[in-house]
Amino acid sequence: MALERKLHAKEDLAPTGASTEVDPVFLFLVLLLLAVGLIMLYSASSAQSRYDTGYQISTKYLQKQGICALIGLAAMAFFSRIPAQVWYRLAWPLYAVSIVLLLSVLVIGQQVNGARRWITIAGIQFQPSEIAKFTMILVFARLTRIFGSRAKTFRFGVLGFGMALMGILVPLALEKHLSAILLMGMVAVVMMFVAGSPIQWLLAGAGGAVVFVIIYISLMGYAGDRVSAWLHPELDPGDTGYQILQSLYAIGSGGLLGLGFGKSRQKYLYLPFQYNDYIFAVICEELGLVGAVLILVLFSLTILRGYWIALHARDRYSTVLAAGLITLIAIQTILNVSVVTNLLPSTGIALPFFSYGGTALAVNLGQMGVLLQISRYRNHRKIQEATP
Amino acid sequence: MKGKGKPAAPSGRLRLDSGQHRRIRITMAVLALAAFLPLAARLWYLMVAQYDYYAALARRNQSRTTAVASDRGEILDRNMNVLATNRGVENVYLNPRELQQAGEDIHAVSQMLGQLLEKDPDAIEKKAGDRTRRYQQIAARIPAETAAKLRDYINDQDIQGIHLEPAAERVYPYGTLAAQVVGFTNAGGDGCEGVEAAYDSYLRGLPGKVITTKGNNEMDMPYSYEQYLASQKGNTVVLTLDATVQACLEKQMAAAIDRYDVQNGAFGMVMNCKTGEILAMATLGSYDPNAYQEIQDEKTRQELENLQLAYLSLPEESEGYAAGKKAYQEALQAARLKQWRNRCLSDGYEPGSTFKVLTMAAALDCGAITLDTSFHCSGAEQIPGRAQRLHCWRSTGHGAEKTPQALQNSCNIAFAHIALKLGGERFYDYIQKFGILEKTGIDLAGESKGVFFDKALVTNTDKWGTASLTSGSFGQTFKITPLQLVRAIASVVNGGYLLEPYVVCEVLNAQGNPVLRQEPTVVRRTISEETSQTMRQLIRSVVTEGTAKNAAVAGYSIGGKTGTSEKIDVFDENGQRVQDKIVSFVGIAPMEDPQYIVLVALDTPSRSTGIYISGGVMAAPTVGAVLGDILPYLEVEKETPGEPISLPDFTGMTVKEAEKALKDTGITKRCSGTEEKITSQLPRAGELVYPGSQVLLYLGDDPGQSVEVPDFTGMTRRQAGDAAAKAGLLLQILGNPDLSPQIVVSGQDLPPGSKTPPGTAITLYFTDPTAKD
Repeated sequence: MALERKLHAKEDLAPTGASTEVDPVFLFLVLLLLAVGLIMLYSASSAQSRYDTGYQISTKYLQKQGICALIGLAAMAFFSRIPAQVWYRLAWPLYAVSIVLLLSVLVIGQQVNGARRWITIAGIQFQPSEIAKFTMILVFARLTRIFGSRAKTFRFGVLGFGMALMGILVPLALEKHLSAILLMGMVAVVMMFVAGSPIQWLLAGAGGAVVFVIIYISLMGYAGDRVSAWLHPELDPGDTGYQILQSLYAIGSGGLLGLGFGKSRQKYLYLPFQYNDYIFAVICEELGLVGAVLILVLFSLTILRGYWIALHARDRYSTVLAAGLITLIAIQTILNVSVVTNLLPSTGIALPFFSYGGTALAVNLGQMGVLLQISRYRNHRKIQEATP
Repeated sequence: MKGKGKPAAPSGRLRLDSGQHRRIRITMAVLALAAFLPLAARLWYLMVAQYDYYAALARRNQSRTTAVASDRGEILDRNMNVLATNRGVENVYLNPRELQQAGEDIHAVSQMLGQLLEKDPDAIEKKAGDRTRRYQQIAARIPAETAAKLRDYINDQDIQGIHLEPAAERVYPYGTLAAQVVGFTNAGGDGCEGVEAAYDSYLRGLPGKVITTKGNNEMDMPYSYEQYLASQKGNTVVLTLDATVQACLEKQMAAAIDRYDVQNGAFGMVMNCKTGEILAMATLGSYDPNAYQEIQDEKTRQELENLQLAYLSLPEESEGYAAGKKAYQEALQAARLKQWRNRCLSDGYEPGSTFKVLTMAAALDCGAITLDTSFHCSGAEQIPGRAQRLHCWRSTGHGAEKTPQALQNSCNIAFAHIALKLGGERFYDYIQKFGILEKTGIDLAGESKGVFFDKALVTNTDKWGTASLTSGSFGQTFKITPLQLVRAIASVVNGGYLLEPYVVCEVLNAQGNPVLRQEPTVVRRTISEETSQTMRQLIRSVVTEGTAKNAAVAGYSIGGKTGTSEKIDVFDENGQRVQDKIVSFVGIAPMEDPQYIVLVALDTPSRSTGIYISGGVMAAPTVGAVLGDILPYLEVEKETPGEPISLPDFTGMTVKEAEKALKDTGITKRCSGTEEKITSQLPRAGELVYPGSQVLLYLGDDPGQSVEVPDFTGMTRRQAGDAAAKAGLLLQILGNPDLSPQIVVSGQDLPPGSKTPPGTAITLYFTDPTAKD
């Protein structure tokens, strides 16, 4: 603790660059993603909404998502004004809370779609893993600063980060929340890479993770069906292959220009989860290759700008924090689209800003608020150096 | 990687080392750019390269194809009377997924449906529970009132998932009439038996299709497409059959079955001798194609019921139960197949003496005999090459005969000699020409061609003797189908043209244009026109002089040949040949220019009636009655015995004066009453009356409003005349025209004891009850 206190010496976290407005480019890109996401959510969920409400209402999901978007925007605005030092101090307490929440799921969790991952606190139902993702990033950022150049050693750069990671992954493993483990594992590896951990160990860790996943799958027998459905969905079109086949029908029938906005046919209850995990398939069907690629470009630009903010953050802690937050968005996006297009076997990973899910949207927007706050303090010399 | 290779920035305020920046740039390149490239490539592959494949799969995934049943074509008789048509009915089906999603109480719904549709509710519940299905039919072809009730129930309770769909039911308005010719359709709508089977491809329409895109759970989509392919109604098949002629034939056959207590049904047909068109074709006992599974014959049904009761009384697990059930089901199936069978073309029988017409035609045609060839029948004779002594049906013999008498007397001994003169080669040659060795080619399914001798059996008499040749000459020890016989005899009288018989004259499409039209087809010549003319006279003489006098119809020149054959291949349980007989008659009219040929065969008349069992006694008057019914209907010109005269008014005359007025008109009178003057008459004054008919003169008696029909059975011509006059009925004489006292009434068309207006013409059938063969 003495060491720690010494490391966050005041000048370290004090604003160095000029305090400016948030990065307008990044803000614009995030708001654009949110707007397009809400519009597409409305289209993708309308049939399900009408069906759920006895053909009365088509905006059931849009309404809920819209409210969460407003909450998220408020959180974004609020967090964009919270100094990074606050997160620095809150990292460990939030980490502890996250682990408690994750463990409490095992006791008081509620089952949704067959998996027990949700709890309700103060009337709000949410997945603690959404919070855990954020706190893991906070902790990793803090550790990066604490470790400094020692991050390049095995002891700190691998074991140190690894132990922090295990604190989150073990409860998730108990929840059998494979998709979250995968996602956080990947984000952690990227953050460790950015922090300077030795590459050979990271590669070994990634290889070990793959072996672990294979063993995990074969031992639990939990996701085995998903793998066979991934490789040969057409063998069981009515059951295990149904989801992915319906997704491919939607994507493939979109063609170059799509059926037109609102004109998806697969969303009429053929494609399950058409308004959350598989919303991208509906986008492909309605907007075609052109529309789908444009949305991917939008993601790509947002992610690029996110890393740009990380590169230009004023200190090491902010850089790693920003990089972690945008990595989370990037990996979710890539994994989601890979799953929907059957490049990877099915895992429950949502598409940020598009998929239905209030907590996730609000948390994502809040995290973007943190990024925006980091974008306020630029390292001007660095900018000059990086962009001649 | 702009940072690569550059020296680390000098430290100081800058705490970010360039190594970290390089790592962020690598991450950025990978996660913001590189990782998106395979995603875009994958999208291009799915959405552009594989577009056709996935678009087709998606369309199939989203569309529902509903078959639209097509109406089966109608079957009409030659006068466009509808013999087979369709009636709209409804099927009931469940959509279990819809039921489940609407949250219906499946148990309660099943109970209700079971009660309403009279089906097992548990079976319905089982079907309703199968959620993988969208279509589960629970009742087919429900009556309109049940459908209405079901609709009310569905609407009242607002139940989702029970549906009614239109379907068609085949209807046969004439019921059993010509059932074996028309056939029937099974539950699946496929034509079975008869025209329904033979013309199935024409009758069957083209089912239509509706292809709609629907959401899963049958949700309507705002952006969907629908494709409709209209169904095509089947073609209309117009038969050569005439429902009226068919009804006459069946009526007389049924009457004969009744009168002679015929044990094993009857078959008969009416064919146009010049074209081969079948006007009527009947097999009794028949069945009702509207309920083709039900056994129509009362006796058979009773036997089946007994069989069923027998095994149902046993415990269900016992061996006897299973065996009894099997026996019952087999018997039921056999009874069904039997009643569906068209015996006119599917079954061979021994034609007996009716076949002599062919033998004689062959012998005359090739010159083996002439009209002057003499024969002698002593009642029995040892024929060379034949082990058994040949007996004629008349044991006292026919004495000296010439060719015409041989046919008139149906003399077996004379025919054996004709066969010997003809010889096996020529006999077989003519048999072949007459089409006895081949199917007739009628346009109906299930035709057989009988069983005739091998050629060597009749030609190689050195080896096989003459038994087959001689027996064959009078129609015994082989089997042919009734249709083969009828068309062969038709060729004998029509100038020697063997025709291909047919039952369908044309097939019309929905617009009424013919898609198929049958024309008379001559297969080959059998005999010369000259022989045919001779045969016409000989066949006519069988009715005027020979064994077939009972077939006579006043006003028409009828010809024909009787036949009585024993079933040589039917044995009783002791292995003894049963004495069952098939009696038959082939009648032709009018003989000057033959138009119609009629066959009636009665299978196994009972001995219990005491009536002599022969074609002459039983089948000839039946055919006569058929001809008497149909010839006027078919507008065959009647030979009138003179010009009709208008009856004068006899009222107020004395009997003497009336006699004077009728003198030389050929009209006879009968009087009833005691007064001197005539008070009324039948027929009334001014009506046209032909010479030979009778008027009733009432001397004070009142003809009354109705008279009771007396029982004429067994009366002679004279007795019948008196009884008719007394009752106030006019007589129509059919059958044997002889006035001898042995000719008596064997039947009447109005039942004894029934009421009828005075002056009604009653038809009496006179038969010689001793007529042999």
